[in-house]
Amino acid sequence: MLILGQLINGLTQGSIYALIAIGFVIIFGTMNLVTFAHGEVYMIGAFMGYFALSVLHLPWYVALMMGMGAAWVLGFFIEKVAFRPLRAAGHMPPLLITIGLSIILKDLAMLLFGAENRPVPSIYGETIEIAGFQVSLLQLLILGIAGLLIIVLRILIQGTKIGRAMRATAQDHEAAYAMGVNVNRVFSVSFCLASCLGGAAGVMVGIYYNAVYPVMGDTAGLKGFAACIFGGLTSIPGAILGGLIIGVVENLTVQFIASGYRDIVAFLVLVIVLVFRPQGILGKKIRAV
Amino acid sequence: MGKEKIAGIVVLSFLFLLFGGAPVCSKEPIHIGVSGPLTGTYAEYGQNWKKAMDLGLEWINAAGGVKGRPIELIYTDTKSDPKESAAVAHKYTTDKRIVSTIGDFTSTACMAAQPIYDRAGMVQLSPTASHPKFAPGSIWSFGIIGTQAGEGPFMARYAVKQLGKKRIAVLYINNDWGIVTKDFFIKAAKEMGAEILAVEAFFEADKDFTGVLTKLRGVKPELLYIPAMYNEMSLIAKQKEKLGWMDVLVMGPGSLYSPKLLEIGGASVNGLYTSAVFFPKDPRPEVQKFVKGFEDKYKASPNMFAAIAYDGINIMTEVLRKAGTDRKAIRDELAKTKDFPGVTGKITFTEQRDVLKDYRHLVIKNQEFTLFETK
Amino acid sequence: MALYNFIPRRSNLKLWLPVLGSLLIFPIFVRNEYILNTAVFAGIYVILVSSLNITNGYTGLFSFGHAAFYGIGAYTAAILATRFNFPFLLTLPLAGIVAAIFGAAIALPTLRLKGIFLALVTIGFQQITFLVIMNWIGLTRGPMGIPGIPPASFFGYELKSNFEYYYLILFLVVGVLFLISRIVDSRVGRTFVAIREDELAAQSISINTFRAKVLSFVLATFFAGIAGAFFAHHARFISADSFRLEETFHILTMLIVGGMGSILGPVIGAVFLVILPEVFRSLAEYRGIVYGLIMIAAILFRPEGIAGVPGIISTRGILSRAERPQVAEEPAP
Repeated sequence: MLILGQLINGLTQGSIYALIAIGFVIIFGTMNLVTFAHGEVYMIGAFMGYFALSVLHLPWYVALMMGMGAAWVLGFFIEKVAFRPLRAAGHMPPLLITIGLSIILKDLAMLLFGAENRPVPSIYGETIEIAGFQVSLLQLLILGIAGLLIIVLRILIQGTKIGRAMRATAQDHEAAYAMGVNVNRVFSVSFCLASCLGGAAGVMVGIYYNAVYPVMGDTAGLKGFAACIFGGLTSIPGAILGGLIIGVVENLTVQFIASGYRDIVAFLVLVIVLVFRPQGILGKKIRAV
Repeated sequence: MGKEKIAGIVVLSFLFLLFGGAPVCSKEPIHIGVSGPLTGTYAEYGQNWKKAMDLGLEWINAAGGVKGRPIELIYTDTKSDPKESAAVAHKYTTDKRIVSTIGDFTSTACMAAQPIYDRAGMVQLSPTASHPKFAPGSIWSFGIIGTQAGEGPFMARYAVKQLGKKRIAVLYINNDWGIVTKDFFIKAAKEMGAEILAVEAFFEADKDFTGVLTKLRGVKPELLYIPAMYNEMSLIAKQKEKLGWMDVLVMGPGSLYSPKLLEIGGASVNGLYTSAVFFPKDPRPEVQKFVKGFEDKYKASPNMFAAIAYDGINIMTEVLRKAGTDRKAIRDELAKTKDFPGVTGKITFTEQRDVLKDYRHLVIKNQEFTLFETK
Repeated sequence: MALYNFIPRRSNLKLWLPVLGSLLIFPIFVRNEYILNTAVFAGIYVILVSSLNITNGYTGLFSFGHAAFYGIGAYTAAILATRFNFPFLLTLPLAGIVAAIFGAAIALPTLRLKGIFLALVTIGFQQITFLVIMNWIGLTRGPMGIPGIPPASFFGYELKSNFEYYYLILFLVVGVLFLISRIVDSRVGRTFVAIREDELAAQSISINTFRAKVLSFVLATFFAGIAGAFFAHHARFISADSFRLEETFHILTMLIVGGMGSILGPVIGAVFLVILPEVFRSLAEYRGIVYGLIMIAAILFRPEGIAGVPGIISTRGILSRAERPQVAEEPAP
């Protein structure tokens, strides 16, 4: 029974890691680039959610939309500043710029909001019985929202024109350009979409843990990355799998070893996958969704 | 060819710039250096200090300061980072205007700066360092919040004797304070016959407690002892509520005592047991004066951190009045402090320059801190 | 001769000797412990940034785990000194060696990876090291840190003031820079550069690039370990907090701003970014923003930094490789 509880804890957390990881996959898949500022996008989304919930007292779904919107806008600017001017520069210069941006965003958040936790009100605090065990309604809600977002994403990528353009660009952006795809626009939309998912993850984390704070993006970003690598940098199902597995293993580690070692799991996964199978579990062979 | 020379000169000029910033002697105000976190993770505690000390200073200087000379506090932000507090210690000890210092916040930061203050001979009065090894470490180091060697047994007695709970699980914050606090509690509790079923740690930045709470629930404890700050405690309380785990008592040390715990924790912290060295409803006139003054000036209730900093500045002022501005004389006079009427209780320094505090039993009822009636 | 080409040799003695001379007599005139403390830290960072330069600058390997090795060196020295009473003269080199052993252990399985993958695995290692230090209380006392580290001492004489530590770090800095210049000027150094410029070409003339990359990593971590040991004995108290990912980013920023791939670059970057926050202590709250802006400005406008080799971080893509200036002074054989 205890294991079931830890499993649900793990899946809930894992679904949040998965959303962050999918963001990385979209960015790497279409643009072949990595961003270190994703954690801060997630953090800004979370703060927007906090603002909507705690200050404006709006319902959670509005808060979620606002968080996603704020993240989308921030993503737009990051892409313009860090990635667009350096198109031909390979991956290192934009990466370094995103490091700079992440440091700035964190400091700005600390200056504007203060370093302390901002409390987010509790919603759905009740539990229900499933198979003789108590499950928090909130956990189910989060799993549900994450699932919904992923389905919407899939519809977007498979069924819409822009989605098709994204897939084409991911496969070969020069060919896509040659076929008339507005590659710049695709890059921008991809980055914004990825940021939007990150923002959603941020809002959900704020609600789940009742707190948002300026440095929350650090570990989240790195763990999301670990999940992304685990699945194979360009595979969305892989990212989802990676996120869920990391979430569950973390909680099992807390249960059977000690809670202090929880964070090591994600980084061990990162290192082990990179050393033994850098293309990830689901490999480069399966590209995009 | 001259570029390297120019580079060398630029470098040296930078260094001389610093030298040029050497302080000019000022005879009028008396300067006390404050070393503490104004930004960073512990910023709110440092800000609490500043508010209380500024208030205290206002009153002290309005009453004529020390023999007509006003006191001026020089605040330098260290984020309670040991490297920074050490650098600031160098800065303060070489500044001839500064006669004494108050700070730092964490025991780790204090101990990092300790050798410097010790070597240079300057008082380091920490309002909040509670590590038993801090004050004994140097004749220049003083602590006024009491150590866990005192609070641990008090809390253990509260849990085991007053509340009658013998099956205890401990969840502590994995930093120097948390480790020392849990160690003293566990030692005392065991001596009183309690059974410690599980001991788990969490890191300062952790926000997820669902995993570890689920694990602790599995050992079915009657009481959870949680050495944590009020930030983490409110999260723990909320997440525990979300998991539906209501049939266990929760207790934590005096660090939890803060109106913010009630604000952030809301209804989920009802029933929490804690202690306090400072209680705003304490009828003593000095406490009421402080509380009222703080509420008037800042529109908020003072917490323990504000209260202890207030005591710090007041003790320092009293010592300056008696001993003057010689650094050594200040130290000697400070060590003699006996029964100083602080808002956090009477302050008398032991041989080791620690204080033995009087604790109060508290419990949260209807989102308010109330005194617990002891048998 | 451009800044990035400067390697101190007997031939250009009159360029660097006066600078060295002023550094030697400077503390006699400026006896302020606080200023000397800042100078000591500048020295520590010169060593740290120069060591990172070996992998990131000369060999073109992007390592993001440097603070972990700095920490391993510091903890090695601290544990050996406090628990086993090893003297400073032993803890310093041993710290370097232990850090280098870890460096080799990490390098061997991971240096096959390139670019972003290498960067990620080094970050992973950095975080794992930090978490292990925090959790393995039996060895490192976890978050309580290790207090009471004895000061640096030579045959019984203990260093007491920053005045004395300054000369020690100056001696170490000169030694480390001297060693690095010799390495750079040698065949090994040229191999590193060859790997950075075009690894495939280097392999095609039968250079064992893997072995060279590992060597580069080992050297870098060795010096980082030495810096760590010095830090431990100077601060006399260390805790894991000083060795987080943020610290790696600080060192990296210093390297980028100062310039990669040259001897002077790390020196300038370290000195500049150690002194700047002290001069502007009142702006401490904005430190993060300033650091971030400096990093971004550097990449966007002058990626070679103040004294670095142009083209290592190229913002104009592979095309600019052809435009890159000659790095070696002697013509190719």
